[in-house]
Amino acid sequence: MPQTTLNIINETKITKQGISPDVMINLIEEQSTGLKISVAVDLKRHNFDPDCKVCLQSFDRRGSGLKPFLLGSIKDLSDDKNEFQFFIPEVNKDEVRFRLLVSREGEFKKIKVYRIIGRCEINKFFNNENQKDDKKNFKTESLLPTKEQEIGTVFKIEMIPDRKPYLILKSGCNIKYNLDNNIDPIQKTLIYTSAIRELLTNYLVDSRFDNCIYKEKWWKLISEKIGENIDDFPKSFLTIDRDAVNIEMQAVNWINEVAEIMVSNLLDSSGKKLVTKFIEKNTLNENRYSEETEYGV
Amino acid sequence: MNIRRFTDNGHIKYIKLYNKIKTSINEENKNIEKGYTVALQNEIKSLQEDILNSEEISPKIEIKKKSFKNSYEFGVYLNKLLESQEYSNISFDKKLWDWLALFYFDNVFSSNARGYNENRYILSDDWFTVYRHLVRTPWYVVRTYGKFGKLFLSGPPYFGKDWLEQFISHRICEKYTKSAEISYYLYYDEKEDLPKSGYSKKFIRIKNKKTLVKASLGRLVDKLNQYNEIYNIWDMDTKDIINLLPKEFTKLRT
Repeated sequence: MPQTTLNIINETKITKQGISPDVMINLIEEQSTGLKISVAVDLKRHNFDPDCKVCLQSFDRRGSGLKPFLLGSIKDLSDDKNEFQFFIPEVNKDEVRFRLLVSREGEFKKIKVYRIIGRCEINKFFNNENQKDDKKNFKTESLLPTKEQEIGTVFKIEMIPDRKPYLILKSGCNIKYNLDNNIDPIQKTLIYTSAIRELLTNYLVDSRFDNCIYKEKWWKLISEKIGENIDDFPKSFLTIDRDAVNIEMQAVNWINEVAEIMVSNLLDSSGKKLVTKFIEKNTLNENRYSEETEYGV
Repeated sequence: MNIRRFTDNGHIKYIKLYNKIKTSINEENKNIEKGYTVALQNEIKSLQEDILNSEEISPKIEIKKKSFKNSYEFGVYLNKLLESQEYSNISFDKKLWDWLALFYFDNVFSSNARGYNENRYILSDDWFTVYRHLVRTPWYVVRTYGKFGKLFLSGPPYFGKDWLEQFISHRICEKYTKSAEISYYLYYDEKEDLPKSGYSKKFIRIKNKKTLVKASLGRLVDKLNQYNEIYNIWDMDTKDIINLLPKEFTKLRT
């Protein structure tokens, strides 16, 4: 009788931060055509076979991977200092990600394979990772970080399966600064309400996000905020009945409810709701407008 | 003529003109032939001839009107033409790609086309739709996948192939260039010089029921995603990866 066996490897985690990590990647120089990086690897404390291969793959935030660099075999990397320099084309420092792979040659059904026996995902340069220790720089993970780009509209949402969604803001008009520093509640309310609606609609419409890890994180966060079980969330924004496509009103109402709780009821450090600040700011503007109109200024 | 890129003003004029064409087609019940009127054809022609709306790129590159058998041939030609240009400088240069779309408008716009969405002629900055551009995409695919890009570019230049749409939307495929090589060996019929039909879609509807297409491109992507988690597939031979695929792929292994 055929059996399927799973070989559990007793793997020690490959570290990328803290004191003397196993792998350290630093940015040497950012050029218009790509990035110059240095890589230091020390895997001696691991029990990998000497003939295992160690590769470093870079890919951008959108997930497209470049051909991995071969760092050598474990035997080749037995020195105390294993430092490399590489140039990674066509990527910028905010979007680059790395994956260190340790693989061993083997066979599966007489086919030569390279099994991955160790891996480490690296999302930041080592010097940036260290900033986490600085309490002033401490931030919780944002599920909708902002980024400036030269775009035609004031803002847009960039969503890619299995990648964190981004709120892209038009560069050169201070919107990112205003949003990140809570300067203008009107801008913040309008932009985030629309952004959250679009994000949720996309998650519910596009099947490419069905297994997206960031959709799962969003769903978990929403569940905590609105106090509803994820199983009770709408499953789709549209229903297809033969040739007719209909919008699910339950999904529309749910999106409205989530936007209300996650944007309008967002509290600032003084405990004031964003929607309250929006109303106050608008009322102030209205008063100023009335005075100016009255005196013909 | 040398290759040019739109000025800000020229780009706006082009976008407005294309939207006018689109509106006209919509008003003619989506009939491209009727909607793309002689008056609109003349407007395209005069925008093509008006050099005040664009500026030459540097270094100068001569460009000629040509006809192309398919998008692949078009992509090969564009790659030769633009080989002196830095990838990062031109890759998302909307004013360049849209100017090229205008220059080759007669090649990429046709009443035989099945669609006329603006993303085919105006470069989108959305990740999902950027690959619908009928000029930049052939260039990008040939540059990234070489001859294996034939699978995705076998139609005429005005045709956006389903193969490409299905392939490029998966992140593992975009720059894991071997995925295009594997797809080419499985799905491209070199004798016929055409993709094998029936494998581009992962699901089809049979008797109103969503049905999985065995050995389809979508299934290949599923398997590559799985292998990527357990094997260093970059180091593996293409033939070995094809041989690893499950039985459903047997008849495609030639």
